Amino acid sequence: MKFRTTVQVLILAISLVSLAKAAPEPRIPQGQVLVELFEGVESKTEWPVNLGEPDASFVLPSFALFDLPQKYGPLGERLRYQAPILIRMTGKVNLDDHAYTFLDRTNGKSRLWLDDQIISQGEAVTESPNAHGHMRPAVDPGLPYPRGRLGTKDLLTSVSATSGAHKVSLECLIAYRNKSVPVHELLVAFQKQQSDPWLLLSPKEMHPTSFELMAMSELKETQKSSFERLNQEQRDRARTQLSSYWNSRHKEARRYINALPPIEGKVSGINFKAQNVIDQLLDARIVENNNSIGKQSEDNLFEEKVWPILEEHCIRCHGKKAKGGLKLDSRQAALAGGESEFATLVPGDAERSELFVRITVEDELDRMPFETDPLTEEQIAILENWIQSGAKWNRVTEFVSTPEPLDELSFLRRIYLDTVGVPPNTDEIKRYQTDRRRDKKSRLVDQLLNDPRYADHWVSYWQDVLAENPSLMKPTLNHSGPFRYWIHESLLDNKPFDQFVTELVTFQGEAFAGGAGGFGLATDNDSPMAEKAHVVATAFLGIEMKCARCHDSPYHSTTQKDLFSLAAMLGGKALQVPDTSTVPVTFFERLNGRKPIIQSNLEPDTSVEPNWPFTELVEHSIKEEMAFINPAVDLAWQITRPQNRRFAKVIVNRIWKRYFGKGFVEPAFDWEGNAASHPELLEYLAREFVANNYDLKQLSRLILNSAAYARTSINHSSGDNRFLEAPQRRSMTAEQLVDSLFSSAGVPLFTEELTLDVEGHWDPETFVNYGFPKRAWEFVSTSTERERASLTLPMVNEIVSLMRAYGWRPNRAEPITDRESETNVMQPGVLANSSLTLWVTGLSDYSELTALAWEVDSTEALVDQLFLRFLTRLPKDHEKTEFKALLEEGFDSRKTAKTDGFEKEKWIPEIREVSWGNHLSVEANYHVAAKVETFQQGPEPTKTLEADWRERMEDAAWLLINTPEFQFIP
Amino acid sequence: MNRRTFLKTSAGGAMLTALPAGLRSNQIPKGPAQSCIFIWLGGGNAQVDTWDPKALGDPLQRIAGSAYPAIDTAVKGVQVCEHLHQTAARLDRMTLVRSVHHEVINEHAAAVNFMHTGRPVSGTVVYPSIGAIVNHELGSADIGMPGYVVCGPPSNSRGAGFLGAKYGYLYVTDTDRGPVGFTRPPTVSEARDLRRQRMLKNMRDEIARTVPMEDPLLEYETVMDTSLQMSRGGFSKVFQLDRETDSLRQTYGGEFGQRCLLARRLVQRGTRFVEVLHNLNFKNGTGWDTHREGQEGQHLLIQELDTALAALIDDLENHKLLDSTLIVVAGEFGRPSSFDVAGGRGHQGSAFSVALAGGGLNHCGAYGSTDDHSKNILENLVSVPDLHATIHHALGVDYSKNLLHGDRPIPITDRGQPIPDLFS
Repeated sequence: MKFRTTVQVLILAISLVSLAKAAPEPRIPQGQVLVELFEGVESKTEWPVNLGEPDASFVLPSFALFDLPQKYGPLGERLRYQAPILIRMTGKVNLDDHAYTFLDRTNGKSRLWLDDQIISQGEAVTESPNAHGHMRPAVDPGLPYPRGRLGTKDLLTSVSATSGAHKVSLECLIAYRNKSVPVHELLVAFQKQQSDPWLLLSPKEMHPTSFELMAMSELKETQKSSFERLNQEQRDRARTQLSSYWNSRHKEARRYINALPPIEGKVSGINFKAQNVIDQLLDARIVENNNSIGKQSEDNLFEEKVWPILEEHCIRCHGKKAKGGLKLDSRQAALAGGESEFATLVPGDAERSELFVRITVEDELDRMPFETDPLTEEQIAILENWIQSGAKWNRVTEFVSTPEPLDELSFLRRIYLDTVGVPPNTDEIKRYQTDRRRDKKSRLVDQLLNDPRYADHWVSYWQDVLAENPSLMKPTLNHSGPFRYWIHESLLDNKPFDQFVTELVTFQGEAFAGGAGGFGLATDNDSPMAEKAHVVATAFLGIEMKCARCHDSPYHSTTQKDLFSLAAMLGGKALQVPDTSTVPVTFFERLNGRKPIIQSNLEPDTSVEPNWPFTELVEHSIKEEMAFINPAVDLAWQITRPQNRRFAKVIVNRIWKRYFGKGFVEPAFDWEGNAASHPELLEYLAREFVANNYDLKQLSRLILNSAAYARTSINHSSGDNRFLEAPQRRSMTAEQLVDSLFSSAGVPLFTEELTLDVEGHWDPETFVNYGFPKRAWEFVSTSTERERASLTLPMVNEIVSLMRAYGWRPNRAEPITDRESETNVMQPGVLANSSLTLWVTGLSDYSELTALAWEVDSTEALVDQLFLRFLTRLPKDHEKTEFKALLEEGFDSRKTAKTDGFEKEKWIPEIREVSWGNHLSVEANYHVAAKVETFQQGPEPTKTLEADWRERMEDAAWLLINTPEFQFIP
Repeated sequence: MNRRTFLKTSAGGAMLTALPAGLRSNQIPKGPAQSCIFIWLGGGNAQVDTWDPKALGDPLQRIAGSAYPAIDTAVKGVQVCEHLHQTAARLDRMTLVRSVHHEVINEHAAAVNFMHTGRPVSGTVVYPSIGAIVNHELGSADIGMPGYVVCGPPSNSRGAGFLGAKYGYLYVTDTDRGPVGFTRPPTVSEARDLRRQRMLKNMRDEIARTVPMEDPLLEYETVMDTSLQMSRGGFSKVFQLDRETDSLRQTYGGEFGQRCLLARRLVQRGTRFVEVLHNLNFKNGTGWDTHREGQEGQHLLIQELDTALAALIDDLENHKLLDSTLIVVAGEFGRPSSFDVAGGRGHQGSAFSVALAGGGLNHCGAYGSTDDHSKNILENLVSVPDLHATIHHALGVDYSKNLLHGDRPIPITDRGQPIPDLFS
């Protein structure tokens, strides 16, 4: 398949020019444009006199710059360029003896030099950004080149040139605040004669780039990936700088792990040196279980009826905790009773059993369960009957069989979704199926873990766990900074996880530059560090301190002081407990003398010193050899040091759970009172994790190569009897679903630019620019709490709506490990009827489905390809018959043209004419409303296929995404 | 009596316990309302230009005061702005709460959040909105209907927070088209839709046969049926406003009025809480956020509100739904009586008005009062939690109960008390 390419785009060669070079007049590399960037120049309005060394410089193939490489600090932390910024682009171009028209497009004060003469200059666009501006006039339909975005200005100059090489230089002074987007479009284009096409100015004579939509769009993409490479190089360099520190830490950690006594447990005969330790340990537990069958009675009353009641209503206080000295997690404990003078359980006599009396008493101050609705009559009857009949405590053991291994294609679908977040495409399927090597599975695991899409897939997990909660504008509702970009880069770089935690809790990098500093923000929160301490404890230590924010935890052993000590460590200094994070005195007064379930601990305004509260998690009582002056660094050390055995286990449990659907410990964020299902395996994997430099990919590799991971999925609802013999049946996450819809259909994911400040007038503290998202994790809630039609982003909205229906949270102020998994009516609704579905299933000129329709020579082949694309399997016979029947009629005459002739540029997002700066005008509201209307019609269908047949092919795609099979992971 | 006997006796109900029985129950009799229509004047309406008129000022001269003259209403001694003359005639069924107060910072999102959750953004909890709480407490009166609908774009402040997404809202931005997900796209014909569904049914049946009983896919299967039923059944008909007479539709006025009409159709079918957003910015650009030039067209918004609100009251009354439907008209804050450089108005949270209508309340025209510039509250301050407690109480929801966030009990309002005068 070949698409018509109108212009050959120059391959961008880009590299950092050594910063050590010192010459006021830079040497311009042959055939390239040198870009130099000077930060913090002396004036916002006047051209600086003394420029000195550039702060960054790189080369481009032509005079067109759309963005800047990321700025990093010495530790690889993300930073922002400081305004005012001067950007200078210089190159030697060959001109003819001819008159030219030059166009320079900038978003600041500008001047264009030809040799040593200024041929064009202008001031910055100063449209007021206060939202009351007006829309600019509609674009002249005769404009021979693409219009510049809002906030840019075009200057046209006529020049008579002499034949030969000339130095051209474009300077732009960007002064307005600390722009969220310093550069939009900085370019020089020219036209030789009226009838000639406009071209980008370039020092290369061959293959000039047309100054038109498609070519510019492709150039933008190429430039973006070049900058990504450049960013990667910068981070690699920083990592090399730090490597000796982290290497020595990891060496120490390894030494510590190697010195530990061998893993012991109930199971024996495990060879911990073998490849398949995971499978040995999982199987051992199953064998042990199955051997115990037959040693129990037939009576299922307790297991089926009684235990579920106790588990749901009693165990929280009387099991995990021992409220009133009573535990109900075993018969022995129940018979032993609590502090009360009455017997809890008198087998055969419900009336004399306190357990029964307390669930039936009418006075709600004495009634159990405490402070909630009473048990139902049916539940009470069950418990009564059970006690009367002797209170037998029989937990049933069921035979556990290991499921069959998945077939190859289903396995492929699972592992792709689990690692890169999308199903394999047809090429990837073919490559794997035709691979005859014995170790092709482990090679696939390696390949997928090294795929950059691995980072895209995993970002959203940490966004949830770490409560990444940035906003589109004016962060006020417990918002954080957009530290998603730091998470993404950490995953791309496979940053050792102890280093990841260290950077996070020490807030490395600027908050609004996408750095870990963004984690430090919780706008309008009464105690941001307490908020973050809660996140850190659940994420890395499995300690849930939600309640400890205002008082000691009633169901946990943590205290309010623990939380604030941790918070003070994060903040690096003593912290005052705000009045609003305490329990008001009136609360206790209203209890009328009843003993409260909570006890207020800290008085308002108590000052709490930084202190590591969880000393019991760290092995060895010897005072540490390492001492840190900065409490936040100390905190990072206390969490990640190998002696803290909890940390590695919590992370291992999290990663395991993501692949298997259930963890060794549940819930994964709250370990107190919850024993591991497989303590030896957890211990083994935790040791492996630490001994392998806290490498998440290596940990994934161990899990993904296990036989258990490759088995047919299971559905165990019970939380207790976890054998983890295979992954749970899981449905796709919202992100997997969106990414899979687009990738399966072969439609590029494109939306409006994710910002409300198109001009980049504002600083990123007010408006963040999230660019053009390519993967689902990059989206952010569009809620502005302003309900203005002009602020609508129709395409973004559509994706966000689908994700919301599937459990993605537009507000992530709370850290969570498990999303809500309940299905709801919106889910099938949006998949069946939304504009997003039209967009994905529509056979437009840019859809791969259209190309596929052109390519195939039979309906049989078409149906096979469709099933492979969407469901990673071939159709069954009856499916093939049905789909063929759908597509057969008119198949031979489906093409309306001789050649495909697709107009691919249709997918290029339109220039936005409405931005914050002008959104309060009436016309802006009508303008955007019209855009919404157009979008809801779906993409423009291709004219190359006959309409009736095209619709049936679209129906086929619709069916394949609407069958429930699409969204469930095999 | 030992404790055992005491417990047994009280369990048998033969004697009163020693503790006061009314400890947690409400002293004020609950209201009879079944549902709530919450009209949102996004941006924050100027109370001096709507519900709490004061001496005339002049935007151009920047003389503080109301922008329009006041008129008398059906309630003696209570006046409103002249652009609200239809509502004025129905004020006997309303109470203008003129003494609402909050101290949220001068920013829309934070104030919108506070008006909907009644709590500051803090701590470790995402609080639910009033609509989600009502949905949680009462649920839909008809299982085929959503309990909570927002006529407007999705918004975080209107979410269900810790109650969980299933208590959240269904949103509608286009009254002609109905909610996303339940109406066929305009480009798909009915015949085509049926063809798709028929083939899909075959695929679904096949997969339902082949997966094990406990597969979560089967649960999704069930939900697919419900969703399909909703998009074809009574639920989708609720959105077909053309089933109403033309004359009634005209009484309601423009797009905002049609939203109000939709709200009536929703509550009639069992929806408990409908929030209708009136800020489309098509009239004057700024909507109710009348800074600068936005003030110039403000009267158009007020007239639009007047038309729709009067129509809604009459229509509910004609359907015998007014006593069971509480109408609340609110914005995120009020506005000062003074004018900015371009003759518009800034923000003011210290004193502003919220209008209540219907709901079987003991209406009194106006409650609470402010000083000559509506800047300070003179009597009967009503906090946002009080306002929420009033709404809960009117709907028969226990305003003093706790909600559960996992293990943690959280009071339904932040110590709010209903306005006693409205209940008798």
